Amino acid sequence: MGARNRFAEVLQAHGGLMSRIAASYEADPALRDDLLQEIALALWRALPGWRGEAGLRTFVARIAHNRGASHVLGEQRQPRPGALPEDLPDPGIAPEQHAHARQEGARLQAAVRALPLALRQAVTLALEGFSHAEIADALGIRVNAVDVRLSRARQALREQLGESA
Amino acid sequence: MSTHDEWSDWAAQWRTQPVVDIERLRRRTLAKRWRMLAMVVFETVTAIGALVQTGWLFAHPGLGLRWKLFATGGTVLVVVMWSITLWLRRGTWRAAGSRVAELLRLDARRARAGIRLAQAQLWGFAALLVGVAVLAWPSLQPSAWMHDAALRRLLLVQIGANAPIVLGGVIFCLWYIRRQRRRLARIAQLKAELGMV
Repeated sequence: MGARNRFAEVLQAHGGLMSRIAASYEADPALRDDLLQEIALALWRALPGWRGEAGLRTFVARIAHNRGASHVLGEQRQPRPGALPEDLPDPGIAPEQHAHARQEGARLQAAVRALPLALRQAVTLALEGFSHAEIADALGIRVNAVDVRLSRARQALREQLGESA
Repeated sequence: MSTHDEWSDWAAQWRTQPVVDIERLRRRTLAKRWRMLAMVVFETVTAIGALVQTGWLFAHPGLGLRWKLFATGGTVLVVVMWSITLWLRRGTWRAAGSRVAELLRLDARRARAGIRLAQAQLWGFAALLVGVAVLAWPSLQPSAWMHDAALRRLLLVQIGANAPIVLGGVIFCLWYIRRQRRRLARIAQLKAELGMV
């Protein structure tokens, strides 16, 4: 299989994961788009080195978080007033439902972005359905550290989402 | 609500985020990769071309010392520019699959190296100014340029041309040091957040 085809397949399978991780690091739509592109480029470079020692999803998540952490080293920006997202709506949901789900999703995104980096990284992976062992593998930490981080993150999310509700 | 239900609820909300146009992302990523590749090829060809040209000038028997000095200066300039390009691009070579902790350590090392480099550059500017002042001291005396219009013009041109360059360099170095210090502070903060301290 050619490198291009392989890259396209991985992007197709894990593009959503990459996009959501990028969104957990950057609120500005244009900068998030740039970050997503950086993640995709890093994935293209790293993909030939993947030997299957970790699951592909874990590998992709690790690259996305590493790029995200590098991005955080720059200045964090707030979204410009009135900036419209360029993303496409999910066609499977009715408009009213979509608007409500979108609003709830946006609140959760903002709450996740407000978490300290260590908690944020663990939470995004947990929300993506990663097991605690997979999160530990992706972030290079022990499983009990994952437990602690997720427990703290849950508390913080509850407080934040409860406050803004 | 149980912990499991709460996480399931949040996970469902999390996945309502807008769908990304994967095909567009793929196209843009590949286009960027080609642009970066083309830039490297262009820079390499330009550097090799410049080196061949200056090498030819240097080896040409019919050319005088002035042209040979020009060729030497050209070669040095190409090497310096090439080094600066490599230095600026170093961040893009990092292993994307490494752990965040390793990347942060690498970033901190680079920031500290950048500060040292900029400080060395500031000392270099100071040494240059002192050296030039010592060499030109006799010409800088008012008795020397007061009655010599040509010398006065020469000094004014030299000061007018070089002062903005040196001043700009000093300002850039100070700004760069400040920026790298802020970066180091941010890295320390991230390390603390990640429990690395």
